Amino acid sequence: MRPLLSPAHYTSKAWFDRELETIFNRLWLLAGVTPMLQKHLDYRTLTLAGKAIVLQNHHGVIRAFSNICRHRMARIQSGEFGNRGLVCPYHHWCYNQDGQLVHTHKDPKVFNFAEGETEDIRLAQYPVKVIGSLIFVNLSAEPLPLEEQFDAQTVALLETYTGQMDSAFIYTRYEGDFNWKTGMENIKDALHVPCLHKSTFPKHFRVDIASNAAIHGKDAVYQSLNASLPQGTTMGGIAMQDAAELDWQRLVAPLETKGRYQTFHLFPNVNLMIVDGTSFAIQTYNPLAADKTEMHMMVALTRPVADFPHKPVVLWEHLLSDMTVLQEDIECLEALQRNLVANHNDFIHGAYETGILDFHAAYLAQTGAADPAVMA
Amino acid sequence: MKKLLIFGEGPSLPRLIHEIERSALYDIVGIVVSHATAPARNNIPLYTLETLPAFDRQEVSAFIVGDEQHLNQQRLAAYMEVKRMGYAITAICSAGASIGDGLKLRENVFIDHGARVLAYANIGANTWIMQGAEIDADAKIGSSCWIGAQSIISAGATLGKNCTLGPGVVIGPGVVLPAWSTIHTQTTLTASPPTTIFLDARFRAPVYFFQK
Repeated sequence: MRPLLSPAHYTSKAWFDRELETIFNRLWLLAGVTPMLQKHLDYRTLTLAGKAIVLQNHHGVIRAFSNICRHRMARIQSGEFGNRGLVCPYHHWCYNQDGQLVHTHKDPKVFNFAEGETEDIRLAQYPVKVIGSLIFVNLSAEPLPLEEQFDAQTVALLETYTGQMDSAFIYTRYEGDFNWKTGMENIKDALHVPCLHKSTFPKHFRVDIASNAAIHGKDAVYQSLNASLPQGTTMGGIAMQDAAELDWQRLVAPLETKGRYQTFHLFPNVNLMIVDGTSFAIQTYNPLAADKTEMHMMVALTRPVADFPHKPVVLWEHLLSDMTVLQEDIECLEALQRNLVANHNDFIHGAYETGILDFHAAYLAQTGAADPAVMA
Repeated sequence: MKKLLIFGEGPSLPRLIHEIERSALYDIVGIVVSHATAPARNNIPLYTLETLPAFDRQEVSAFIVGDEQHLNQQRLAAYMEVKRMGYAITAICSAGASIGDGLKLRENVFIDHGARVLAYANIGANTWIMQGAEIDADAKIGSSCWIGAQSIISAGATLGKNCTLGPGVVIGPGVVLPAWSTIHTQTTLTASPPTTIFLDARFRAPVYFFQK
């Protein structure tokens, strides 16, 4: 099938800027999970669509603010995770739970603000929505309703499943020299698993690609049936082959997805996996530049039902196993990215890649098909 | 000489036998392995749990051999199993190690050749301190840790339980390393991490574990 996207969509700054404007500064983005922010004053910092963001728990309510002090634009929270109030370390400007400046210096003459002058000094605040354990942030001044991005069934399942996430988790970041879209396309590409990962992917994750009815009956030219925004998000469930239950699985409460490898590919950039109804693995492909992506990866289990002192071992080895596979992906995607720059051929898609083309159709529906470089 | 029964095998076993023989404190009466493929090793009888004779537990102490794999948990599980069997579990300290007066050597602690442990350090049970490592004054190391060869735990530093340090790791003065932390080879840590941390060459950024 002929492609919908060209190499420029993956390499040009003009397309990257268009994506930031029409997708990442407009849609709801996964910014964390509630176990990261369990306690009063817990925070997490990250960069989303080029903006420095801090998620902050104030008495159980999670809010998102700009992490840039209004005084001298220093970072307010400097760690990736931590527990402290919104106090800029540079000159101790303090902001309250609404992001409003509430303290500058014990001697008012130092700044000499007129009465009422500081009332309008506040951090930019961004809307937050929590679904189950997932924290979404919207960077737009006029955020679209969440239900325009995800359909009701997806929201209900995310609520049910991730609401059962344990509070313990393991997390890391991974910066790679590839475009975020190739990361998402890779996870939608079931065929690469038995090829690229033939020696590393567990046998019980193997899938029969040709048996997927969705790939049949497609024409040589891709025709998107529905490129609406919710169609950009897909769900899938692959039956896991019979295998002995792992020891630790008896120590946690299984979800109804037990026996399945359940996936949610949340448009634009999240891969959420629920493995055998007992563990969550979440990957977010956070774009930093056309050729640079920061992956956020976390693994958590479902809630424990018995004493589980060796949980860190299970989470660490789960992440290691994921990383072994991902390392192969990333090396492949980084080489692919270099080739996209050096080679102007287009992709050639097969019938099994309909899911990738659905993703491209949703992408173009958001960004517009016209080449921003030509438009400029 | 006191009698010693060793449980387990693996890459650490030869060096352990070597250090025990050099110390001349113990007579090794047997090695308990999962599958005995020969009747003896280094002229020491090999047993399985099924063929293990009923040694007098008042006369024979036990020591459990293991490694740092799975965040030290296999070694810990084996240690707990032998403890349940009712053996008195001893510590092994190389004759070539230098340890401060009065240092308490808890069960299944191993201090390898060339290690130096200053007085007032505190070493938890089942913690192994490998060749040439240095534990400075007032350092505290939790149970079931693995301190890699040539590592340095500086004065006043604290390691929680189940920590693993690769060879050549330096933990700076006063640094607190939360339980389960794992630091890969030749790394210097001068500040306490905010939570359990895994520094591993397979990852491009630190891995954090949170349990809230």
